[in-house]
Amino acid sequence: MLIPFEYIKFDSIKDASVFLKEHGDDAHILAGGTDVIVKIRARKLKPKYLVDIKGIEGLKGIEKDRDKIVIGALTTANEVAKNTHIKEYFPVLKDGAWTLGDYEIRNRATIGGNICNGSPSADTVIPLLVYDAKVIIASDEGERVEALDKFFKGPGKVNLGPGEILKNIILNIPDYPVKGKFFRVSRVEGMDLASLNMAILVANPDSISDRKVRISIGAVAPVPLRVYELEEFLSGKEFTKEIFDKAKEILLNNLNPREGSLRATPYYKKRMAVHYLSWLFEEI
Amino acid sequence: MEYKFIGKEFKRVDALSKLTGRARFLADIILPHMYYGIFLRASIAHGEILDIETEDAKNVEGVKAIVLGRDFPHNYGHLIKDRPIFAFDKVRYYGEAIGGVIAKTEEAARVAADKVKVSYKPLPIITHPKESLNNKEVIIREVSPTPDMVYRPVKGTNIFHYDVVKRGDVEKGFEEADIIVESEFNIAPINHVQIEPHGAIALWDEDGSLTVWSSTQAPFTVRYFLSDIFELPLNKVRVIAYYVGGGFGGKSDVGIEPMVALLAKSVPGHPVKVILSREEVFHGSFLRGNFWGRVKTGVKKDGKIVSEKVEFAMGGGGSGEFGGTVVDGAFKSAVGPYEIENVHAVGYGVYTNLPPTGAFRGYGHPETHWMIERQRDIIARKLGIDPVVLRKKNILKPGSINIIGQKIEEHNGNLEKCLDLVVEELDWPNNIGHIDKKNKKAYGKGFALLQKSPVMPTNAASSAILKLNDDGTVNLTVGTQEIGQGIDTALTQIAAEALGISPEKIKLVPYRDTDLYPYEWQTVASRGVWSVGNAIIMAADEVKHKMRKVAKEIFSVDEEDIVVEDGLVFPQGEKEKAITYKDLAIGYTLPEGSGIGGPIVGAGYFIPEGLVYPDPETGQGNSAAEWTFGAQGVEIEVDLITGKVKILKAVTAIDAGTIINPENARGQVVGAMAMALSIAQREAIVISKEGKIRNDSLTDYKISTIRDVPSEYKVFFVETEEETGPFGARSLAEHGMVAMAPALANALYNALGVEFFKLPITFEDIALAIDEKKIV
Repeated sequence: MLIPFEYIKFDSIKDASVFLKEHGDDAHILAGGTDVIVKIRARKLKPKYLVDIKGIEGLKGIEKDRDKIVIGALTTANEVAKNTHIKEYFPVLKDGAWTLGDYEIRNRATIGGNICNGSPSADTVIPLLVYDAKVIIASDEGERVEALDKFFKGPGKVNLGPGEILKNIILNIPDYPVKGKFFRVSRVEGMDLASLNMAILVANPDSISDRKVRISIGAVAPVPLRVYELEEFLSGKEFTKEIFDKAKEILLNNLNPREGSLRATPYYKKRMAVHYLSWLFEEI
Repeated sequence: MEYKFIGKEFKRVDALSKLTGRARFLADIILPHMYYGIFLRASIAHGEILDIETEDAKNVEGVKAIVLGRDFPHNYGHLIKDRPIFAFDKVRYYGEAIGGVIAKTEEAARVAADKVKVSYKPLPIITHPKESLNNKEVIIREVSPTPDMVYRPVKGTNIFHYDVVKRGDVEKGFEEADIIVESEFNIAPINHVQIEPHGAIALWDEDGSLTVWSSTQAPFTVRYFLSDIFELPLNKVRVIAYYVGGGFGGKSDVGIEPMVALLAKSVPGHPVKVILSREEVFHGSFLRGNFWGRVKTGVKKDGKIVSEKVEFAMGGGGSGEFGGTVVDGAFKSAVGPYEIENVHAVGYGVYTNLPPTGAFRGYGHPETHWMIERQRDIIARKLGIDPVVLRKKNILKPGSINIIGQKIEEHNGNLEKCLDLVVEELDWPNNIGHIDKKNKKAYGKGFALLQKSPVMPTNAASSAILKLNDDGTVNLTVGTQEIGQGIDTALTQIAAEALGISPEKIKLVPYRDTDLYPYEWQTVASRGVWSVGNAIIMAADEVKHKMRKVAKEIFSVDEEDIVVEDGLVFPQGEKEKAITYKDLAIGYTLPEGSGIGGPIVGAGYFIPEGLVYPDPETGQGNSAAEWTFGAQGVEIEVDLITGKVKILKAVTAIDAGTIINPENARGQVVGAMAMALSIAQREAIVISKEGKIRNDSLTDYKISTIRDVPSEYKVFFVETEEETGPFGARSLAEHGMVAMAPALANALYNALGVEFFKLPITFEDIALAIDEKKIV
């Protein structure tokens, strides 16, 4: 059961933005609703107005624009996972999107919602981070571009100002060979939140000197985590036993999973992160 | 024996209505002038209620009334009076209901409930049964014994009930033993997670009578408690129950109905409906309580167990009424299905600051078997003998005496055969476990034995009514409840066999209503087929007897010369003269036009005969009506990286007597295995330091999904006919739960060499053990 609120639907970013600005914390954006409705039901969110943005043109779908892929914020997780461009150029994102919720939830849940929900283990965010995704944020005053990695401020908190709406996600199609993988462990094999998720991407995997590594991990910090220190250390290195031992140390120093999580203990999360890191040393 | 309809495949009688959504459940019931209720719930786990401020809530538009525990300060109970309708003096667990709001809409009630302010004087909390057992400072509830009290509370402690078994002399037995093995065990509290949450609707009429619609396994028990609490004659309380969307014991104890009835009393003429949210099912219904126990066993070198001492405590939550009988169930199986000369077992029910413990499929047996069947494997290892051999040396067989002093008879079933079937299916003792370092996997096999009797009062009765219709069809009414287990189908088959007509001709009238349907104690204890089945056979005998009485007039022969079979009635040896049930159903019309006989109705009853209360000092006595024995096993694959266990095969061999409906019976056992493994592998209620249930939703209370359940199931039925059962049937429904957890843990030892003593055994526990033993 939901406590009463007013539902409003707009067909332009401008109108929605003006309304959101006017009502501040009393208004909340509704996209797929798979997080928002749950929060309202739990009375963690008590909006006076729920602002449905699904009627706004141009926020849905995946377009290829020369060397870029533009994903509309309202594109559902299933649409992301099944899209040919995503499958071809961003397979790690495809895998991440495919693990979100279950099939029915993925038909509703949007990539923009998954980002703006601000979960430290969002299944589309972890892969987007290793692809250096950018987000376009719009309001009635115009648009701004931000690196996705700078978008997260804390659990459930994202960098959206008054009246701002996440519009698109921009991915640059790599013009160099890449190899990557999405990892995830959860308590049950069916629908579950990630106890830990992790993405690893290696650019130019076959050339030691040109090798660049990007790693992101979920559920180990207050925000989805890019492990820059480890990326720097691993880039241009040969993946030997000695390097792995050092990499492991750097990785563990960067993880700060909270005690008392119902999804997994810090011990288990660290153990699995180290194991997933070993993929680099076994498969590349 | 050859039967026409028993043991044959027959489609579920409720299948079509459930598949098409026509089947009615409580949530479907919308009544005119209906209001909605929301319970007010405690925000601390233990404390005195100081003040409740309701002014703001009363002013919310649509609110009709606010009812508080202090408006009706009453503790009810049949065995111990310790259940408040709403907490009135203090709260004893987080989420305990302290009252409720009634409003025109559920939303208005919710908004108002959030505005009620309660202040408390907090008290220290206890959540673990061992801590509660040993604690004398924090007394959660004090109940003064009364002459009619069935339980045995111990003054100055949190013990609200205990049971003792004493046979022989355990200390002497330990002296004679070659080795002594001692182990300590724990089990986390769990929830039933029925798909359908608990709910009820209550309506008080102008004449002071009360009607309650409820999702319950026990309409007649609900009626009894409502009549007792509100001081109404039983025929002024009517309980109506539609289909139940899963019970597992969690809807057999009376919880929500008195609460909703009390709310509705303030708005007579208006039905009040309450359906719990999933979170409230965790806080506000019943749990399987947490469990602690220790076992000390004395064994001879050859594997003969000579002495066993068992002590256990079950967390009962804030009220013991419905938890103490779980201890009563557990103590009869305190040493499992074994004959041991010297036994001393003590089981306690203790108050804790958690939601009350109630019935849960298995009723104490999964708990005791968790200890005993682990202990058996541990003993076998210490002695260096095969656990099959160890068990066979000690198991109950015809002629053995069990721990309550009953002599096991042939017709009680063949445990040894069940064990043989399971170990054969597991290809025991070949490849019982190994580690595959290369593929980072470990493999193991394990098994365990089980026994269970229906845990019920000595006089738990059933009844049934068969009514012939003038086209030869039959209406059957019973008081037992269809909760998804398939009872309506099995009873239809029993009625068909007993009447000698096809099951398609019988309509077991769906849904239950205490005003219209015959009495039934409760739909619990796996006793429905056994108990109600017997009542149906008696009802069918009465139908046949009435038909004979009329037929003897028609054919002018003696009553004993009338044959009633396969829907025909005829004089012995003159089948060509046969008339049909149809001809007799509402009275027979003679050729000249006059009628004889009349509408035929048969009523039958059943009560287990000869059961007695156990001796309070020794636990001895004929207190178990019948026993079902079985064996269970698993083959597992452990992922050494994630710690996750894949159940490659789950096996049960059970001697449930004659199987009435093979497909349903298999479904019962398979479902029980899946449920037990989910509990063993992952289910636990997580309690915060403050006593709050942290995982009060299915987001964080995880049950196995279809991807987590065993890859393969094997079910074997050994059909030793039960003397006391209808067509030789006995109990089956809970038993597939009883020994899966120890079978899993025994397999884990064989895979990894690690002994687990607590449940659940999560993949994190296993990963930690793998790291500690440096297996990878």
